[in-house]
Amino acid sequence: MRLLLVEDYLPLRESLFQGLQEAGFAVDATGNGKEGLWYASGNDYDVIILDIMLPGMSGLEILKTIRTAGKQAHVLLLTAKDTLKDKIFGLDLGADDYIVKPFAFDELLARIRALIRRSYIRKSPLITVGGLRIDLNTQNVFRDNEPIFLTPREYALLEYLALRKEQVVSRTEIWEHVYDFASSATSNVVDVYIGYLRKKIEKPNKPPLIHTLRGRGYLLGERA
Amino acid sequence: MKMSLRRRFFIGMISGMLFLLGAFGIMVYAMISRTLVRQFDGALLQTAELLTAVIKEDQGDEQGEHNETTKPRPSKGEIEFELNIRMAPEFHRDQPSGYYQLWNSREATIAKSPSLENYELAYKKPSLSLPLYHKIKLPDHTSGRVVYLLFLPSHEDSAVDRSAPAERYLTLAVARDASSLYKQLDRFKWILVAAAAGGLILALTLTAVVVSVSLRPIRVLAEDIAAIRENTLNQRLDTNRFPKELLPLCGRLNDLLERLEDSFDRERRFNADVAHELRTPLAGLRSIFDVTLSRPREAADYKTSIAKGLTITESMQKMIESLLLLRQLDNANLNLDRKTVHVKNVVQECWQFHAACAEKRNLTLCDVLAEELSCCTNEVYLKMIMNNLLKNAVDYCDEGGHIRINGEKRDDRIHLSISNTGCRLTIDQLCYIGEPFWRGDKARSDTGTHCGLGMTLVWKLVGVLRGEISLNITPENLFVVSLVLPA
Repeated sequence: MRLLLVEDYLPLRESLFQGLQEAGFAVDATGNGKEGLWYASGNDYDVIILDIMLPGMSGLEILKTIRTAGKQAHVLLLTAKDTLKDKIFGLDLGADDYIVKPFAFDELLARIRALIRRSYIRKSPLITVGGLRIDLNTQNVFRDNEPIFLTPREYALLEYLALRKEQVVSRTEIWEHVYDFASSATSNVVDVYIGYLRKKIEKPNKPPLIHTLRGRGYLLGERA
Repeated sequence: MKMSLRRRFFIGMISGMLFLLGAFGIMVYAMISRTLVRQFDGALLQTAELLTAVIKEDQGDEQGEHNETTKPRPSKGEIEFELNIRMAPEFHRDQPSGYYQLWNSREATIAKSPSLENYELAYKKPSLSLPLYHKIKLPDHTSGRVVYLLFLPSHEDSAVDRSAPAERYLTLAVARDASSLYKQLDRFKWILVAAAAGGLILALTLTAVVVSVSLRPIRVLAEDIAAIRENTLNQRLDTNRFPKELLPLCGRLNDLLERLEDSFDRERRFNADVAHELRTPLAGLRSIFDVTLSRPREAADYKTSIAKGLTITESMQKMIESLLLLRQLDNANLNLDRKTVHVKNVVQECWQFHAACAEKRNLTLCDVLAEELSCCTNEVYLKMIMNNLLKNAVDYCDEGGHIRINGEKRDDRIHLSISNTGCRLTIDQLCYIGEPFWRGDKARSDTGTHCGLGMTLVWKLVGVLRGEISLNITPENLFVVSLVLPA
């Protein structure tokens, strides 16, 4: 899943960037409000983590602008302002969640995951496709009750496909949601990672779960 | 505790009423008593004058008729007292209510009424022009009044002959039973006492009611004040509810509430600012440690995380120390420990901490301070002021800009100014610079390097050193801080 982090306090931005990347997210990060708006306007993020007090442009202005532009990305406001009035104002402006500094990193992750589930209209953190079971919270993957060990990138790809199971997902969409702006991956990297995933989750004598639809993309499901 | 207002009012009112009732009663009693006694004495005088009319000095051999007198028939030059006892039965011994006695100038009794029998009225000598009245005990032990009259018995001229020899004058005393008068006065006295007592009880009751009603606004005021809590300090006392005597008090209390509200608001804003300023570095600290601990890492990674945490902690420590110093500077009894300080030395010492940063940003320093420029002040505080001002100048000066420090001694005062090029503030923003946590950049993106307390501290320290500070932005876009300190 691809996230945008807009936070001006460098130590916090750096640590969150590192933690979110390690949690398997593709993260773009900036400390400037105007840059943040540029990122948010030009990309299709699953979740935007937005500080309110930013140089250049405030987080609330960014939120207002992207909502006016029709961007549907979930926005999580990250701020030191903790009054009810501030929270109501932020949420009324179009934010989906609000977290007050300081916070536990795990709580931030849980809120991000909840927002991602909401994006793909899923209440349960468990996704099952045939014999494949994916736990979005623990990031554990099982095939016929046997654990499958995936790299963070492989897991991110599988999670995106699973969240959109039984739907055709184009390479562009995969690229936009699994790779961040600074990624140096080439255009065929999606195909390569699909290959890696197939090797790990498909089983002989079992119907395939990842289907290639020529010219359209990929589909995770029991039938193409 | 001082005596309550209610008790004071009560005692005052009762004392006043007591005095007024007492004075009024005594005055009324005295007036009535005097009138009645005068009436009685008037009647007594009339009787006495009637009697004098029948008392004549003998002019020859004439014999006066005198019934039931104890005196023998008078001879020439003697007194003739012609009184028909039947015409004046009050002096008769059978129904005695009136008494008379006549004395000559030698105080020898010449005649007395039969009603006196063996009793003698006491002799008093009145003046020639004024009869003398007295209260006496009568022979039957009842109270009576007597009038003494000095007169000149004369057949031809009953008028007082002031040229007549003194031995020709007689003294007549006429007494009458006045017990009914005194009883009447006595009864009147008791009526007045009873009326005064009744009036006093009524006054007590009325006073209690009046005092209670009069003090009700004070109770209401006390209740209104008691109802004001620290979260309702925006309330004001409704002056329309109180009498005009309490309006000055209400006004002062409302002023006090306004000051309290301002003070609480300032404190709340300050606390909110402190909390806000600490939240971001705390979030950074927690996030660094949370992420570091989320998975096993190499020793170098832990070292990096700890170093980052330490940097944040140092900046937080700096902020807390500044806050504590601000609180300390509020203390009026601060020991300043002044001594002669060479300003140039202080500036040079402080510049050492910022020289590297200035060099990195290609800044040039123009120090035109005279070597001998000195002042008697607290060196530590002056260093803190200079350090903050130089740090701000270095951090907010434009890349490759200039910082200039001027100083001179004028009128027994040290005038210092620190200016830097590339000011990004507006004139309107200058008035906020001394406020805690205020920063030109509303995003406060310099959290960790500037906490927004430096200029607040400078402001406070200059005040403590009894100096003055002013800020200005010149047309050349120079940001100038001017200090005036006592030399």
